[in-house]
Amino acid sequence: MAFWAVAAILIVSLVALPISLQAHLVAGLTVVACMIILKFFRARGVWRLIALALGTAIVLRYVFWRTTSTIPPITEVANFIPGFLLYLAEMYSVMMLFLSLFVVSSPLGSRKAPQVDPHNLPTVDVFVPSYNESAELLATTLAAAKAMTYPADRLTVWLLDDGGTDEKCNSLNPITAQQARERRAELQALCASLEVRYLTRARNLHAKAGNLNNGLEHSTGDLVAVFDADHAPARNFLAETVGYFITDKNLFLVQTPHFFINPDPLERNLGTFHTMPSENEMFYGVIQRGLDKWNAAFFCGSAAVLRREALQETNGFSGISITEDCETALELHSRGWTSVYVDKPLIAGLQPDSFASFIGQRSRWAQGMMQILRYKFPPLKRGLKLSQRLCYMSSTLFWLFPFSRFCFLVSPLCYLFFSLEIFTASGGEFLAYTFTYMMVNFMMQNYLFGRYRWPWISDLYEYIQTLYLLPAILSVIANPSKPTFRVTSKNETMDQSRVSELGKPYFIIFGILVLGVIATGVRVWAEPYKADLTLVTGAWNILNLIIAGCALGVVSERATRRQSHRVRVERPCQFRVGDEVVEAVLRDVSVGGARLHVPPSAEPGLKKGAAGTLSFQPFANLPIQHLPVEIRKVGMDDEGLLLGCRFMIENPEHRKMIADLVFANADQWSEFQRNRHYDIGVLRGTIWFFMVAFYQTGRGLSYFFGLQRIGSSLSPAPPAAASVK
Amino acid sequence: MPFSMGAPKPTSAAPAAPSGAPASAKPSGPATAAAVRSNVRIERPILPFESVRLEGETDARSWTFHLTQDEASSGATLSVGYKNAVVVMPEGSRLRIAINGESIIDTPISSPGDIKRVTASVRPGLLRPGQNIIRMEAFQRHRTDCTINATYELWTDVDSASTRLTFAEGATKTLRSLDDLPAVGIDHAGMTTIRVVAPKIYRPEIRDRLLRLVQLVALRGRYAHPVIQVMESDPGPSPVGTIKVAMGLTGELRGLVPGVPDAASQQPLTMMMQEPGSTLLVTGPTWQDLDTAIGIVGAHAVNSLNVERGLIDTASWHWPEVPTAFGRQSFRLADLGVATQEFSGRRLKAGFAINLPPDFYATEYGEAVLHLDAAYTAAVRPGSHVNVFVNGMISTRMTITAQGDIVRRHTIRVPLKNFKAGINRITLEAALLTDADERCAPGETLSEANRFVLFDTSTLEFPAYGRIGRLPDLAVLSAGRFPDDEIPTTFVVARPDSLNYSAAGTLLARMARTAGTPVRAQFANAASANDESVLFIGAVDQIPAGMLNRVRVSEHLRMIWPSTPVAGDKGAQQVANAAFSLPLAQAAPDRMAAASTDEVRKRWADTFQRQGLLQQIAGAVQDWMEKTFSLSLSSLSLEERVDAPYEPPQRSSLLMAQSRTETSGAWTLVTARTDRALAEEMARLADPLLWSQVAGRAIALDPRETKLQIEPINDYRFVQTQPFSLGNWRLVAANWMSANILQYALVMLACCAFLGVATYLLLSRLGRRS
Repeated sequence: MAFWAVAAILIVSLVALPISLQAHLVAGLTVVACMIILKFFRARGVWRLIALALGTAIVLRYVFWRTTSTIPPITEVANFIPGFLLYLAEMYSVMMLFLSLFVVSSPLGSRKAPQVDPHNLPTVDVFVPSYNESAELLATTLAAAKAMTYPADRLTVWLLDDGGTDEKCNSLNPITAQQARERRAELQALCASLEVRYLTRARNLHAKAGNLNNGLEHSTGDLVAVFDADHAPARNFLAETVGYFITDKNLFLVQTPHFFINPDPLERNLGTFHTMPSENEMFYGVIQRGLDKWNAAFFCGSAAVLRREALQETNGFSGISITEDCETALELHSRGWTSVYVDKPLIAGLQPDSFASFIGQRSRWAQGMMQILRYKFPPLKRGLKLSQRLCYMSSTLFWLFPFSRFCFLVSPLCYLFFSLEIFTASGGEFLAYTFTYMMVNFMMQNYLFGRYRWPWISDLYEYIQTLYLLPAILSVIANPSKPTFRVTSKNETMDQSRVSELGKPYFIIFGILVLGVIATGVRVWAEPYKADLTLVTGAWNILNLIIAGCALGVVSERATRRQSHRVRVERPCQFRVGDEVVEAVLRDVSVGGARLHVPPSAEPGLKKGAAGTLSFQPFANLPIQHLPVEIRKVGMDDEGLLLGCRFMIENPEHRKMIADLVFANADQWSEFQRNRHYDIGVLRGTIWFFMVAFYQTGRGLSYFFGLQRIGSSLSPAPPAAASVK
Repeated sequence: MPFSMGAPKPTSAAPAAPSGAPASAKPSGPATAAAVRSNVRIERPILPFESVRLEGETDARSWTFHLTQDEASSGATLSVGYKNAVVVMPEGSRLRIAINGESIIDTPISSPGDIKRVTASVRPGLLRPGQNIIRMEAFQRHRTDCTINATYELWTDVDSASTRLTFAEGATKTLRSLDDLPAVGIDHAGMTTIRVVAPKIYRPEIRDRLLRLVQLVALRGRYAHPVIQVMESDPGPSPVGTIKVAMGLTGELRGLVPGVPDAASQQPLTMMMQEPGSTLLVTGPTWQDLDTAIGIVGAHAVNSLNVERGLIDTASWHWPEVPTAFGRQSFRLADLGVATQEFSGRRLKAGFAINLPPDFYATEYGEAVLHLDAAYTAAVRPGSHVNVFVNGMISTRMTITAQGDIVRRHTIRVPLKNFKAGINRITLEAALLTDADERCAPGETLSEANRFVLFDTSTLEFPAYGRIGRLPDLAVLSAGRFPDDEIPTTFVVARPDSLNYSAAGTLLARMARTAGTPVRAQFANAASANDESVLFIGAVDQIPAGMLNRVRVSEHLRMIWPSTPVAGDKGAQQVANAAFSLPLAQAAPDRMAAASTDEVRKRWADTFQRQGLLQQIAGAVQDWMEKTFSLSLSSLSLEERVDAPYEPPQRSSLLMAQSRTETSGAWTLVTARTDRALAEEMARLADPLLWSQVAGRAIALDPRETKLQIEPINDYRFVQTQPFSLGNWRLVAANWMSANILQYALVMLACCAFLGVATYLLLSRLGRRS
C-alpha cells in the first residue's frame, strides 16, 4: 500500500508540473506509442496495468491542464457558464473512467463451479414473474426451467403472474377484466400441463418486486432462482450456480450473464449482430467480473439465484426504486452478504426489438439508478466497504452520462453559432492536449474492454440514449418517487422498414450539426484570423455529426421476417415423412422451427407443405421423442438438401422437446459469443465505424424521405458488415 | 527644501567644522571659491543616450534629471534639436516635451532636412531642486500611406548635442554637497564620468578603497551610465558631465590636488570643493580615516527600502523606476508609466519595463497574464490584433474578433520565453485595420476619430515562477551580483594601473548601480588557489595562461585579437554610433526578424514548393505545426550538453565569459585587446540598455554597434538561492523538464511503470483473487 502510495504521489507530482506544450506533446506521444507497442504484445497482468498507468498519467495531465488554464474567466459570464458546464461534463467523464479503471482493474477469471453432494442439495424455488407476456413465450421459459438438471423433489417452478391478478380480473374496464380472466385461465392450464405452480395475487403492488415478494411468501425453498418471462435457462443452470451457496454460507447471490438470442435495435439496424460484441457483453463480460473481484457483483433482475435467508433479512426484494434488483443487492451487500458472478451464459433471452422499447427499457434503468442514488446514495451507505462504495458509485453514476453527452454535443455549436469561447486555448494547445487525451482514452477503453466493446460504439449507444434519457433523468431528479415500473416489451414483430416513432429528434439534431459544418466553412472563410480554432472546433463537431449520422441508421428500423431467433446446433436426428425415415442433422433451431440438413440421396417427397415428424434423443428424460413439423422451405447446398421446418405443437410435451433442443446446451451460446469477442483495435475499429456511420447516414436519410419502399424488394445487405469478415 | 527662490546665495552652513566629528557632507569650503565664477551661460545636456529615436505613430520616453538648488531657482530655457523622417506629415505630427508634467514644447514635426532646434523657456518655479521628470512624446502620421507597415517608416530623432537645458546668467554650476552629486549630470553621450585622482594607485590599499569609492559615488549620484577614469595626476577642470574625485591620504593628496583644507590633516574629510568644476575630496590622515571618509560618501548611497522592494533605480534613463517581479505579483500599467490613451492611428504602441531577479528560471514553461482593459470602435475590423513583444521578440498575439467592443480584463497569456533575468522591455502593440485605411482617401491619416483606447487599469500578472540560480550565468552579473552570494568572489585586476582600474571601476560601478548596493567582492592582483570564485579583468595579453580555456573560450583569441586590430578608428566608430540609436534596436521587432536567414530560406523554398493547392495546404499545416509547437529535434536530445570553447567574432572588442569550476565557484573573465580598449569598451558596455542585455555564458561586444553577441548556457549547475520549498522546487522542475523534454517523457514512463507494478502488487492483495 505504501509502495503504491509512493508511486501515486510520484505520478501526481510529475503530472502537476506546469510543463510546456512541447514537453506535453512529446510525453503524450511517447506514452501513446508505448501503449500501442504494449498492445502489440497483448499486454496482460502487470503489463496491462503499466499500460493503464501510462494512460492515467496522460489523462491526469489533461485534467491538470483543463483545470488550470482553460476555464474562461468568471468575468465573461456568457462564456463562463457553458464553459464550466463543459468542464464539469469532462471531469465527470474522467471520474467515470477512473471508477471503471478501479472496477475492472483485474476482472476475475472464470470460476469453476464447486462440486456438490447430490444427496444434500438445497431446495430451489424458480420464479418466473410475468406481466403481459404471451403464453407461448412463457411456455418455452417454463419448459426450459422445468428441464433443468436438478432433483425434481427439490425444484419447484412458479409462474408469478401479475397480468391475471384479482385487481385486473375485477377491473372496471370490461375489456381489461375479460383479458385478465382469459389470461389467468390460459396460464393456469399451461402450468398444469407443465407441472408448474401458478401464482397470482390480489393487487399489483410494487410491480416486479411486489410480485417476487408474493412468490417468497408462498414458497419455502432455501434458494430462489429468478428468470424473466423471456429468459429460458439452460439445463445446467442450477448445476453451475447452486454449489456456491453450499460452500459460502454468507452468499446471497449468484448472478449469471444475460445472453440474448436476438439483436437489439442498434445491432439489427446496423447489421452487426453476428460480428460485433453486443452492448451488454461489456457489462457481463468485463464489468461484472470486475465487480466480482470487489465482492460487488449485483443482481440484474433475472438469471440469478438468491438465498431466501438473506432476502428475509430485508423483507424480500426492495421496491423503493424501479430497479429493485440493484437496490436489493446494494442493501444486502451493506449487511455483509456476499455475491458471486458466474461468467458463463446460462440463460437465453430476448431483448427489445424496436428502438422505442429499447429506449423505454433504458429509461427505466436510468431512472431506477437515479432513485438509488437519491434514496440510498451508495458512496455514503453504511456497511459497505470502500471498494464496494466505489463499485456502486460507478454503476449508478454511469447513468448521468446524458448530461455529459449533451454538453459534448452542444459545446462546439456554442462556438460555431454564437462565438462563445467556452474553452480558452489556442488551436495548438487544444490539439496537443485533446488529441493525446482522446488517443489515450481510446487506448484505455481498448485495454479495458477491447474484446467486448469496439471503439466509438459506446459513444453511439450513449448518444442514441441521451436524447430520451436526459428528460427522463431530469424528471426523476425533479420528482424521485414518480417513475413507475414499466415492463419492457419484447418479441415484437418488425414487419415493415420505417423510421422509429422516436426518430424525429435525431434527424433534427443531425440537421443542426450539418448547419454547424456549414458554419465552420463560413467562419473559416470569413474570419481567417481565427481559422485554427474554428477548424479544431469544426473537427469536433464533425465527430459529433458522424455519430449522429450513424444514429440515423439506428432509428431507421429494418424489417425482419424471422419471428423467433435461431440458435445454431449440430444434432443428429431422424426425419420421418409418411413411412420414410431419413437420417438428418439439425443445423439450427428456434422455438418456432428448425432447419435440417438431409443427404442428397433422400426421398424426393420432401417438398414444401409436407408434414412429418422429427425425432431425436433429448438430453432430458422425456416421455415422448417425436415432434410434428411441417416443411416450409426446401433449399439446396453442395452436400444435400436444407429443409426449413415449423414445429406443430400439439401438447406440452412438445414444448419440453423444443426447450431441450434450443436451451439444452449453454456451451453453444458461449461459442456464439466467443465468435464475436474479437478486438478490432482502435485504428481499424475507427475506420470501420466511420464506414458504417457513412452508410447508415445515407440509409437513415433515405428512410426519412421514404425511399426505402422503393428499394424494399432488394435485400439491403450492409457492405460495412461484410467488410469486417 | 526650505530655500526661497531667487538669486543664489552662499550656503548657510558654516565652513568645515574646525574639530570634533569628521567633516559632514554638508556644503563647506571657502566661499570665496564660489564667488569666483564666470558669468557664462551654463548648459546641461539632458538626453540620457546619444540619440533618442521616437518611432511609429505614437512613442514616448520619460526619465529624470537632477538639478541643484541654484540651478532650479535660476531661469532656464529648454532647447531641443530633432530631425525626422521625410514621410512624417507635419500637419498631423507633433513633438511634445513636458517637464514635471507641464508641457514646455509642443511643436509640429517638420524637419526632414536637418536638425531643427526648438527653444522654449521654462516657467520659473517649475524646475525643482533634485529630481525633475522630463517626458518626450511624438505623435506622427504618415503623409500618404495608411498601411500599418508604413507606420514603421515614421521616426523622429532627438539630437543630444543640441538638446539641453540652458540656465540663465548667474546660475552656478557648483555642487554644494554630496546630495548634489546626482546633479553632475551627463555629457552629450549620456555618460557621467567619475574621474578619480589618487596617488600611487599601484598600492593594494589604494586599489581596494578606490574601487569601493567609485561604486559609492555612482550609487550616490544615481547615474545612468557611470564611467570611471582613474588618474594619478590632476587633469585640470572637468568637462560637462564629469565629476572629479580626489582620494587618498591627506599627505599624499596635497601635492596632487590644490586646495586640500587643513582640517584633513587631523580627521577624515569628505567634501565638495567649491572651485569651478566640482571636485569631491575624500581624504583623511590615515587609512582608517580614509575609510571613514569613504563611508561618508556611502552613507546615503543605498536606498535599502527600494533594494528590498526590488525597485531598480533607472530614473536617470527610464521613468518610472522599474519594479521587480519576485513571484506572483500584479502590475498595473498606470504604475509602469503607461497612461490611458485614446488612439486614432493604425499602430498603437505602449511600452514598459519589468525587472526579474537573477535567479529567474521559468523561460520554458511559464506564462504571465496580461489582463487587458481596452475598447475599440466598430471601425476596427475583426482580424486586427494586439501583439505583445518581450525584449523585442513577439510573444503573443490576441486577435480582435468582435466589431466594436469594450473588453474588461481580457486575458492574454504571455509566455515567459523571451523574458530574462534583469530588466525586460515589454511592448504592447495594437495593429488596427479599418476600411477607411484600406481606401486611404487623401488626408485619411489626419483623421482624429479615435478607434482604440487602452486603459491604464490593464494589469500584467506574473505567476509564481521557479527561482534558482545557474552557474555560469552572466545575467546574474548583469543584475550586479555573483552567482553564489554565499561564496565571496575575488575580483582580480590584471595590472595595478589606471587603465585597468578604470575598467574595473566602470564594471563595479555599473554592477553596483544595477543592484542598488555595492558589489560584495574582495580585490586582488592575482588569483590564489584558495579562491573559489574569481572575476578576472585585464587585457588579453595580461591574463594568465590557461585562463581563456578555463572560462571555455577558445585560446585562439590570443592570436586572433592581436592580428585583427581594433576595427576602425575612433572617429568612424563615433559615426557608427551616432547613426545607430539603441531604442531603434527594439523599435521594429518584426522588421528586424524579416532579414533572418530562416526567413529568406523559407521565402526561396516557398517559390519552389508552393504550386498546387494541396501542396499549399500541406505547407500551411506544416508551418502551423512548426509555429505552434516549435519543436526541434535538438530539443529532444538526451545527451549531456557540453559547452564547446566559445569563439567570439574576430571583430568583437570586448569579451566577457563565465564558467563554473569543478567545486562550487565560478570563474569570470572580462577582457579586451589592450588595456586601453578594455577601459573604453567597458565604458561602452556600461550603457544601461546594453548592460541589461548581458546574459548567457559569454558575450562579445560589437565594436561599432551597440550590440552584443550572446552565447547561450548549455552546461550549468544549479545554485540554490531561495530557502528550500516544495512549491519552488516544483516550478524549477517544471522548467527543467520543459527544457529537457525527452527526460520528462522517460521519467514519466518510468514512474508509470512503477505505478503499474505497484498496482499489480496491490491488486494481488486486495479483493478476491483470480
